[in-house]
Amino acid sequence: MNNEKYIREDERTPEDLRDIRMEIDVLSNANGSAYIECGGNKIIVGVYGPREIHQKKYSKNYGAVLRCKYNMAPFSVKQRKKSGYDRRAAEISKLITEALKPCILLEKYPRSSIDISIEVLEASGGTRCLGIVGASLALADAEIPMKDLISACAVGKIDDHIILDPSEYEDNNGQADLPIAMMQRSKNITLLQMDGKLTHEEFIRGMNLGMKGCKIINDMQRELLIKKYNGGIE
Amino acid sequence: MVNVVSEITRNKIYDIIKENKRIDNRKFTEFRDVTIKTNYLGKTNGSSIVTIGNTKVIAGIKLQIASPFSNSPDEGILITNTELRPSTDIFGHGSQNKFAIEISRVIDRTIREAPLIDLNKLCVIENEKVWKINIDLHILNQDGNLIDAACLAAVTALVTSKMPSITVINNEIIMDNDNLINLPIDSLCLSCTVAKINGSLILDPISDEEKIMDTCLSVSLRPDGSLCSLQKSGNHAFKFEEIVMAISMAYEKSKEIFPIIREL
Repeated sequence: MNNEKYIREDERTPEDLRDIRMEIDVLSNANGSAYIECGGNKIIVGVYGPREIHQKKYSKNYGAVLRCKYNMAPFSVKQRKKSGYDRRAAEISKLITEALKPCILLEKYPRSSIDISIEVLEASGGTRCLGIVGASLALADAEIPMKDLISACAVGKIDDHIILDPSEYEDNNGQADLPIAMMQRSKNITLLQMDGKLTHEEFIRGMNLGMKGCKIINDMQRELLIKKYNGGIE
Repeated sequence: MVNVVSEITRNKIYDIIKENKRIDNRKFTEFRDVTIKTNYLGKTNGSSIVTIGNTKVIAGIKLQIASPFSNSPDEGILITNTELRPSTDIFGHGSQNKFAIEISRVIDRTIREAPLIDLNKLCVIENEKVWKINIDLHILNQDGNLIDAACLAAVTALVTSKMPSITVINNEIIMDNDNLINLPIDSLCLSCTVAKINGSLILDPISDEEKIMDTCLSVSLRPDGSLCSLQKSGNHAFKFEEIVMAISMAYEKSKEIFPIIREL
């Protein structure tokens, strides 16, 4: 159980994230967009809005409606996935909406909608967390007022070791998976899921490790956004 | 979700929670009365009707022989489906509703990860035939805490299910319907939902509390206290300390509910 010496199948230590490359402003038609590459994951996120809501019955007069659509491309996984909106996508879309909602000042835009589409082009473990990271960047890129940036990462357990950011192999063969998303300044946790087997003590260790990972990702998000306004992006 | 609660109900719940009380005079860590009635339906392999206060969920288990999925040729198939019947009106109905999907998926994960059923023992002929377990959950009445009620219904129905014993001779399946056996049960599991209202954590929220709550966390546990799944839902956030607190509340409660399942 010595976490320090454990080397993972892709030669990371338990506390290492995969290499992440983030970009913003990649879609010309969207108000804000982001592209993320992390390990084998490729995710593109577009934010549309605040804009008028077409179906008036869904509008709310006390604020904007936030709608997220998480979608996996048919070619994103080894065995072709049937295209379309399945139960997994429905659940993840609901969770991502709920994870982003606490940080956006929706009350500024009554009777409108903010639509986020998260498109997974290639998946290799941890897409829902990266989707949230991308959505948060795209929202900032769309200049929608937010209280904070949301960062997310997953924690896994394999061979009784608690690891940060499990890869696809570790996700499939691991004993537990714990994705978390948090607002960095207030330390509010907005997404929390778990499956597998964790004792209470392992859970607390995992949460602390995950929060460390979120901090690193948050710094990267911040750096990228600052660069945009310094004119350094090109 | 239709989130209309009268101002007076909202203020009443907030005020009363500040005094460490709840609108139905329960303690923060108290469940409503739980009743479980198994073998309720005659034409299923197993069934259970669970009530928690006014919340009522019925689970029916149907088994059939099917072809396995190509990525798990030697494992049985487990399918969970939840339907919100019109009587639960509040979320709209059907099984394509996102709340219904969430309930199904949380319960499916809990049962799979515990694991409640040893799916490897449900293989009949490798690569060709396996048992397929269909868990159908119908929410008959909604008064909050659907995930706990549905999870309890699914678990109790599976624990009391019977399946015909099978012999395979020359790749031919012979089913013995007079000789019923139990499903291969591995480890029990149950779910406890902790809601956060105005900073206070309460167990087993009723419908009105659920409508005004900030957020909730469904904690699924095994009898030894290890976690098998977590799901946060709701539009607000949790603090880390609150999550740790919620898990220990759920663990204390689960110690009271597991004996009820074991008695069945």
